[in-house]
Amino acid sequence: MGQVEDALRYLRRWQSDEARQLAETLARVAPGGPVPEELRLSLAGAKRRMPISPVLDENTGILRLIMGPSPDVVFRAFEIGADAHRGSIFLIDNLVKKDYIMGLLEVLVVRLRQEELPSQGQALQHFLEQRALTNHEVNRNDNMGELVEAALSGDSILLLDGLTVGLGVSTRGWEHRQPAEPVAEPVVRGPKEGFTETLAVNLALIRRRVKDERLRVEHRRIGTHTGTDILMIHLAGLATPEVVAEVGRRLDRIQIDGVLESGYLEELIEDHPFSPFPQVRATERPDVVAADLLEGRVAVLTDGTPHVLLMPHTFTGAMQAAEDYYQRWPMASFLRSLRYLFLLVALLGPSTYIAMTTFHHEMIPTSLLIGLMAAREGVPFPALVEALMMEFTFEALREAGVRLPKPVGQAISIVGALVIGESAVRAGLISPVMVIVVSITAIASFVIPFFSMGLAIRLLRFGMMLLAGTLGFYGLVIGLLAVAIHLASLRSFGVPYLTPIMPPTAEDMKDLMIRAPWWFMRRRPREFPVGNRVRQRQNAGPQTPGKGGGP
Amino acid sequence: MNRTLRISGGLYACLLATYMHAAQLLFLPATLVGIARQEAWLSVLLDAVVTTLVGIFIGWICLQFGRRSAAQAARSAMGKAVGGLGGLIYTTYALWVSSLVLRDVQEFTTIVLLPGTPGLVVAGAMGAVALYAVWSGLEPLARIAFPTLIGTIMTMLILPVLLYPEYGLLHIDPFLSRGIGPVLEASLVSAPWFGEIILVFTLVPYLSRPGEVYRWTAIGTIGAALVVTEILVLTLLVFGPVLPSRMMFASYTLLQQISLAEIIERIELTFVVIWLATMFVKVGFYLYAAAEATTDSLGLRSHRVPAAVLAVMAVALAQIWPGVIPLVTSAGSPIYILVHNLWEGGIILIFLIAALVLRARSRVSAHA
Repeated sequence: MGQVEDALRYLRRWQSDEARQLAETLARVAPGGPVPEELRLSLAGAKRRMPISPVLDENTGILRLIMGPSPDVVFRAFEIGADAHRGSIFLIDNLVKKDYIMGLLEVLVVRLRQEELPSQGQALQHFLEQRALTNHEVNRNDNMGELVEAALSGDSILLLDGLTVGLGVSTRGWEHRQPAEPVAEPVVRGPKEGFTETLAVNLALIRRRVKDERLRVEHRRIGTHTGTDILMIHLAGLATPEVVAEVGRRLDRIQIDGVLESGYLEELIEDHPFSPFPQVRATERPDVVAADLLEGRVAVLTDGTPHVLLMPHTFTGAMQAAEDYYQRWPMASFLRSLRYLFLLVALLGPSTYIAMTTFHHEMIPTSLLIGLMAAREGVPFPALVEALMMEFTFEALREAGVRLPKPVGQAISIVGALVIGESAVRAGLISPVMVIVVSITAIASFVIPFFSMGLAIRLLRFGMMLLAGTLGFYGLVIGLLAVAIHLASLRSFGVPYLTPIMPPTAEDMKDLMIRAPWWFMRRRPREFPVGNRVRQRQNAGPQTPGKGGGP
Repeated sequence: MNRTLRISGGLYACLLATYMHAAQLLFLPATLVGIARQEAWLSVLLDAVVTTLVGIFIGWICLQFGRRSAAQAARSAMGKAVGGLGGLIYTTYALWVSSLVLRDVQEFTTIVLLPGTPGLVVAGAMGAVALYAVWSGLEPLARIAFPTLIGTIMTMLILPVLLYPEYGLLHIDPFLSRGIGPVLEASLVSAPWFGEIILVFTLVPYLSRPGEVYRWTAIGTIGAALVVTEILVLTLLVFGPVLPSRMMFASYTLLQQISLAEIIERIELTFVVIWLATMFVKVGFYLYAAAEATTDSLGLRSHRVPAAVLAVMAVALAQIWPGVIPLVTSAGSPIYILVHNLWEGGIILIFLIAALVLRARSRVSAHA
């Protein structure tokens, strides 16, 4: 069993108590017998303290033990140079691009076959870095831990006899989705590119939009098992250093076994974990990230997901859609005002109906009241129960529609519309007015551009309905005040969540319910104390030619 | 309790104006019109002038305390026992008023909005949300006060237009036919309500620029008085000088008169929503003041437990107080006015002594 003997030799060369203990345990393994999993785990746990041996076989032996018998772990041995210097490439299949490997091997085996390689370790390393591998990005790995992590990230590790470092050659490349229009954030006018699951592609999409050397990118690896690559991005000079530092601190505090989606990070870094309101924005759109970077926010990219986190995030930010800034301002302002109106409908639609029909008939004009009562005649449930049944059914239908495959999802929609709606009315279980109210509310909840905010509103709607059903308008006021107090006490990375409404910032009101013309928004929002607040020069508005002037 | 919190002068004035006018709006018109008839609005303006001066004086006292709360300063100036007692007198005042306000809300809601609903449920619901606000701190309360006041201002701008068809200019004629006497008498009745200015003892330490305390206090007080004055004038214009004093909620009845082109009508509940919000701000702020004063007087670390206890007490007390008619009637009785004014004046006196002691001490140490 060669790998065990090589590993034993490695451990005996590594002078430490830990190595001695590991060697004793390894020595007890029967020749040809299986290596106990506990021993492999102990070796993996010690990998960051394990130096690189100058003997190639010892390194490959210990690496084989650490990595286990996985079929995608590849060690490709070769000889380079005129004196047939022994070497090996350690890589993980499918995480590397085959063309890169072919190129690398061609350089090492073919081009260098006549070369006299230096025998000294330092000189050999210098030769490879400076003369042989000039077409590749090369990183030095000083211990087995770094080496394994680099291989698991898609690097190919070059190990040579006599070399006490592993040279990680960047050969990353795997099958990935091409940038496509984000399903959850489509636009009529605007870029149709969305982020993908590949971190490098996502970073490139941002770089393409922000061609500025001040774009700072900080790398972190989070997740003891997943080792997920995280990039924290901001524009130096625009983002507040305190916010940048705070985001970094919160990311550094995370100790978790795995990060499979940016939602993990969102929950781990937000200010108020028990709030239903999202305090970090997630987007799939590179243009949204670029715009937010230009306003001094910080972006966090997570490998393996197209959802990029943006912070600080405010309530009003959730009501802004990317397209608001691409359409002409009168239309954008109208649509945004409509959104705020329908936000209220989404939150209070059914509860207002319940309160009015149950407690405050005097508010309804007599003719309408007679109509409503006639429609409700025969309905065996109070308005609250009726509304709750409809809302729960609708939420279930929506959830089913999202989870099911598209063709089946359409069938569910038909079932929902025809069977639940029409049949329930005919059966006298619900009134037609309630169907209208729930439908309008459903449409209203889709008007909110940021999906997580829509979810929060949907959740709160049920509480409002219960309050309206028990205490009428008084209950609604109590519920609204509780929500308002909650919102007023929220902060996202130090920024008040309700800014610029509360505390009021007159200057930022031009991008609130009304989206002012671009030439009028001369300065960046005041909500973030950015270094340079000037967005464009003065008098940047379009200049019409004078009488008789102009072409 | 976040002692490092600072609120801007604007928010300070918003909170002051909101808590000052909230209860007055619904209950004061009937009482004042009963005494001063068509000149009732003058009594409010008279009170506003006096209250502004008192507010400025309180501001001066607070400036002597620096960033300390009045209760902290009293404890430091007069010792744990006497100073603490002074702070607790302030607590009882804030608790008493907050329970009265809760009772007002309870009465109005169970009579007008939700007949048959247990009053405890109504007061308990508002008490619970007010407690949540107190736990969240003064900042959210001040922020809520801003849109609430905006709502009130919008109402005040729209109301004269909406009620225009109902006006009777002769209703406010003749002017001062009975002399200034009834106006002065009515101003005495409303004095206890304006005496609530003493709650700025809680607000001033949080003001971001303490030097501006005089200006913002004056703006807040005059703002509150203007709102009440307008409602009084509109009530008189619509109902005349006799009817309002026989109404339980004169200003609510006023809102019910809105009927413009037979389209804009039955909208009084919209205004009630704003009024309930202002009452909530008032209850929340008074509970906050009571909780802070208790915490500082007893030398406690957190205000959360005292706030919870005080909220329960306020809701319980609200169940003990008599109904709206005895409340409105007693508001005009000399004993009520005297006790109330003595209580408010006493609190000012306690903190004035504390301020003078601290001032004297600082002078002695400066000489030394």
